[in-house]
Amino acid sequence: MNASLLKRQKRSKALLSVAFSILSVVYLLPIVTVLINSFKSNAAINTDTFALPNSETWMGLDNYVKGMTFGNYPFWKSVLFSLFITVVSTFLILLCTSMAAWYVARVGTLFSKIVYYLCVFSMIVPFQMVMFTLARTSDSLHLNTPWTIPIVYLGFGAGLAVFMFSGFVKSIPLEIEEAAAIDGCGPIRTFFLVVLPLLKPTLISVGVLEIMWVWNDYLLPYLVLDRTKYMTIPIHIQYLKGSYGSVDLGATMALILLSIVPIIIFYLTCQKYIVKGVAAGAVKG
Amino acid sequence: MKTKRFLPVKILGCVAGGALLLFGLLASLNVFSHVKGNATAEKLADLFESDTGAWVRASIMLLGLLLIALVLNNVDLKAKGGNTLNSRLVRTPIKRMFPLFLLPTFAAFCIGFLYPFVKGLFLSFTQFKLTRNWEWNGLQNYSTIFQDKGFTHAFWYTALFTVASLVVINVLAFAVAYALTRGIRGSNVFRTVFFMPNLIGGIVLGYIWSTIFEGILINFDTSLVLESKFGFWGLLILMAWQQIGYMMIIYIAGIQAVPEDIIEAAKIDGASAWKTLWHVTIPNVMPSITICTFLTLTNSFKLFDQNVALTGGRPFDGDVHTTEMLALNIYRALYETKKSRGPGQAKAVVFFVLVAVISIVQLSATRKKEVQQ
Amino acid sequence: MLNKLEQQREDRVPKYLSLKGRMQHEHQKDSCARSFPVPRFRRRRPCLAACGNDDNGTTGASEEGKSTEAGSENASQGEPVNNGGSVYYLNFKPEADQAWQDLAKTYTEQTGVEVKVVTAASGEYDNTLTAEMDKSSAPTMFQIGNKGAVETWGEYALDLTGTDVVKEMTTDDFNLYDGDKLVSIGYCYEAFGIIVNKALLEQAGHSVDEIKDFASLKAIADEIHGKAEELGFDAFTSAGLDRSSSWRFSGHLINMPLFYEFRDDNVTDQPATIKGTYMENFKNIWDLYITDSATTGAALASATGDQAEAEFGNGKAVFYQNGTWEYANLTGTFGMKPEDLTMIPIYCGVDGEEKAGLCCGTENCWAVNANAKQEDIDATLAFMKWVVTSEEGTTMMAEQFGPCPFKNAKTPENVFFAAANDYTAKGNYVVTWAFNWEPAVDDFRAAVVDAMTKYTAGQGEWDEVVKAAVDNWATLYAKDHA
Repeated sequence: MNASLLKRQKRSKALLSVAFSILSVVYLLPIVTVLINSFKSNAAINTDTFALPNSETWMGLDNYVKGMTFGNYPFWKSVLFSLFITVVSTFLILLCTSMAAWYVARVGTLFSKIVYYLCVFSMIVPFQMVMFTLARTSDSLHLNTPWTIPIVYLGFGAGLAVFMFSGFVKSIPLEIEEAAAIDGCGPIRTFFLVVLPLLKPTLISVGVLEIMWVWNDYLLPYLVLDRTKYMTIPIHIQYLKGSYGSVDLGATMALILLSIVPIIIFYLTCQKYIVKGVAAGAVKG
Repeated sequence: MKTKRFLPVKILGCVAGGALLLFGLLASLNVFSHVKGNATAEKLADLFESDTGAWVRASIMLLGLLLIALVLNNVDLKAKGGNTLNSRLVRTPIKRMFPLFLLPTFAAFCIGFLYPFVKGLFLSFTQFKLTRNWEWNGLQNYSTIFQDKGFTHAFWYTALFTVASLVVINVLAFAVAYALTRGIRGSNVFRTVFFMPNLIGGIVLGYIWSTIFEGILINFDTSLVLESKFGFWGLLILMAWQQIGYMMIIYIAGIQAVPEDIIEAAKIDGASAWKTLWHVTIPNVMPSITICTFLTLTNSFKLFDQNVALTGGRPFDGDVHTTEMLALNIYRALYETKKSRGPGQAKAVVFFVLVAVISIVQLSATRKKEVQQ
Repeated sequence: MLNKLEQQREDRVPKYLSLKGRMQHEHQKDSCARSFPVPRFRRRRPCLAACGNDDNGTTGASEEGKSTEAGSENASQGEPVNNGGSVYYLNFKPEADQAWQDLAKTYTEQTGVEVKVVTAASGEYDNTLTAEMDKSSAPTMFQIGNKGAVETWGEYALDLTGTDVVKEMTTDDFNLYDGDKLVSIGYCYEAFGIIVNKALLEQAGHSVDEIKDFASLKAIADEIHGKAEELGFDAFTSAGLDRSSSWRFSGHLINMPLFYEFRDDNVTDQPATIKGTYMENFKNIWDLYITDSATTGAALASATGDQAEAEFGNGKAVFYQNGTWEYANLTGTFGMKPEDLTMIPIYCGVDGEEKAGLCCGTENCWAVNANAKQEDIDATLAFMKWVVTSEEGTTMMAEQFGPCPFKNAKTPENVFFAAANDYTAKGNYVVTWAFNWEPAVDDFRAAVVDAMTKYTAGQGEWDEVVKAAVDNWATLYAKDHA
């Protein structure tokens, strides 16, 4: 009886495996559709979305070439700006907010308490509440370039990061820092040599959340950046879809594909950290 | 003991800081140029309210805040509990590092959040096309927005969508997570696949799915932007595709944290798989469930990018955009209006209050559950 | 000088919109020529060729008494001074973006004055303008193209009365006023209708002259569609309802019923409601578009503007509804021969329509930001003047926008304008741009497009299109004027 139960379990597991294999393929279909269509001519995308390209509709790499120069703004520029903004903003947020969180958690003054509660408060404020005035403010302070927009990201993203970091700092036993202090470490050395290494798991999870946020963010850079000079990938894609007379579906498909390839590579290489980060971030958030 | 020392200095610092802050704020809100017939105000407006003076105003405000901060930073709070310590060995040296450790984040926080928040709140009580030309009109904006059919429609639409996506995403994500923790072959691959859409941004997702839906609907002689029900279900499918992976990860972490021995015990007691799931597993992953409900709730409620890219609110019915959610409606009221943007900002404030209420209710519920455990 | 301008303004027939004036004059045949300035350019053309700059030089000098004015051949050099100001032009014609960028570069090379040209994505112009105007570096030069825009942006526009660029103008007809304030100047005008590939039409055994009204158009189109396979081309290009194409119908085609209704009712200002008297005629022509075409039914919902343009450009269709602005693309990108192209009026079965001309008007009006820094305003005005007087500027304007109402304007090669002139010369009435009165333009058009899409896909009745137009006009007008 036990044997048959095991057998039944095995069979149902195999069935589940098959079912999930099919489901996974279905799950990937949207991306495959984009891939297929990025090689097809415009008319065929509209009428035969799901057909494989045939000799008549096959465009080769034409869509990619067109996409690169489409709309008077080179795509690689958008990619570079997206990359730059994401990397710098994430770095800035991790560095500044971990320091701030340590300060807030260790120094129990009235002011640090106020800052902490302001951060918690900012977590429940939706972007729409501040978007108009934030765009206006960052414009008049010239924070509207890719080089300065990380400051805006730091400001708006500080809440969650400080909250997560200080939650972790509070769980670090004080004795370690006291020992460091006795050994003659100043606060700077204590932080960078003792505290920061301990914060590594939180650094990763906050980092993952920030990267995902900044890289995919559309509205903030759209409103804040000087659109006349700078675009990010989401802004670029949105622009492609809306010009009089010239919506090039094939080129759009090609660029959509190009824009998700780096994400997929990033995901596959850092999958372990991403999954951990998400799980940890969720438990805290 | 130190608190009482230098008390007059501290009060003076606070007052001076407050005055600077107030002055900077008034200049930033262009209050001086709104005072009519006062020579001093006009002069101040000339000096401080030009567009180029933005950094000056910001510096004045930051200086004021800094003064207050320095004073408040010297008011020590008695530490509660053991861990948030009074160890002066650690604390005093850190406190001196205020400019390095806290100031950069605090300054950015003021620019990126605090000031826009205050100004946004202020502007919601005014009529304005361009921010510097506002006119005070009290609560008028708030009364007009509730008569705005587009806004009320967007509210109910958002509420409906939020509930639907909450149920769909969580049920499916939990089911997938449960199946993938059964130790079936290829679990890791499946997990990787299901999580992937999460990393794609909303705008791109929207266009991917609009291509797909249009490709399907064209065979039925119709289109995504023709029927609001297509827009609704389309958005739901899109959101499920994107979010299931994320929630799945959280559920997997939750399920894996359920102690093996409880489940073993249930099995030995002869409980069926269903009963084990219902009475053992689910109660034990309650924290994950609350987190996921909270996340789906806020994600759906604040949805913007996907909404814009998929239907953009179409089909339109007069000034009611039938598939438009609150965030998009607010965006339109702020950026696509030919008249005052005051109502748009008022909508944003109402939206903020709604999100805040949801968050607070949810967080307190979570806390209660955790206490029970 | 001021007196002259005063005089000029009193002469001006339309007080507010040129459209209004022209509508009033619609029935008086003899005044057609006067109220619409196309013939004026016709008359000027030989003059320009014959006496060139002399003519303009003398007028310029006598009027302003400044010898450095546009008269001399070298006017483009040296005249604008770099005073440290810069120009930021928010352009709303994506198709002219490249031309503007190039022109801006040339100007910067010549004068050192920085000119930034930004083009808003389609349907995003209002949006972009709203966002940009609130910035510290707001556009110094932008468009105020219709009545709604005057109401919104009039207060931020500089009164252009008496500026150098206005002195270069040959007509006041396209200028927009807010009371007495000259808010924006129409820098070109356009015409739209049905573009015809004459070569293909002949191949099908017909000529343009046979098309006199809706019945004859339909007969020919039906015939071509019937033997499309054999001919290798169809009658109409795809009437795509994607956002990149639908403006041709929700903006331009719907002008037909609006125009005739307003003409009947003597409407001279934006009305609060419309009746939809001629919506049945709109249906006639729309049905023709979506029947006698290679692309029909639901496929039109997502068909784009590019698609239609490519079909026509590659000789896959005889008829293509669009405007004069298409000329550059058709002859350039697609290498079509100018002699193969012409434009005919949009016929939709209205009585007396054999006397119709093309739909002429403009939304292209420059305004200058009154809140900009003085040096930027000066730089902008200098740039505007340069654009309409210099060799490079006038060449670009003629290529991109066709005839422009400026003394130094070049005569465009564009055969579509020649067609427009021919109709006017024959005494046909000009179909004015009644659609400039659409309330809350984007919402109105989207609602109409949605209804049209449903109808086209066989999911809805034509009544819904009528209802969408009539009802939305009323609601959106009411909302605008609440």
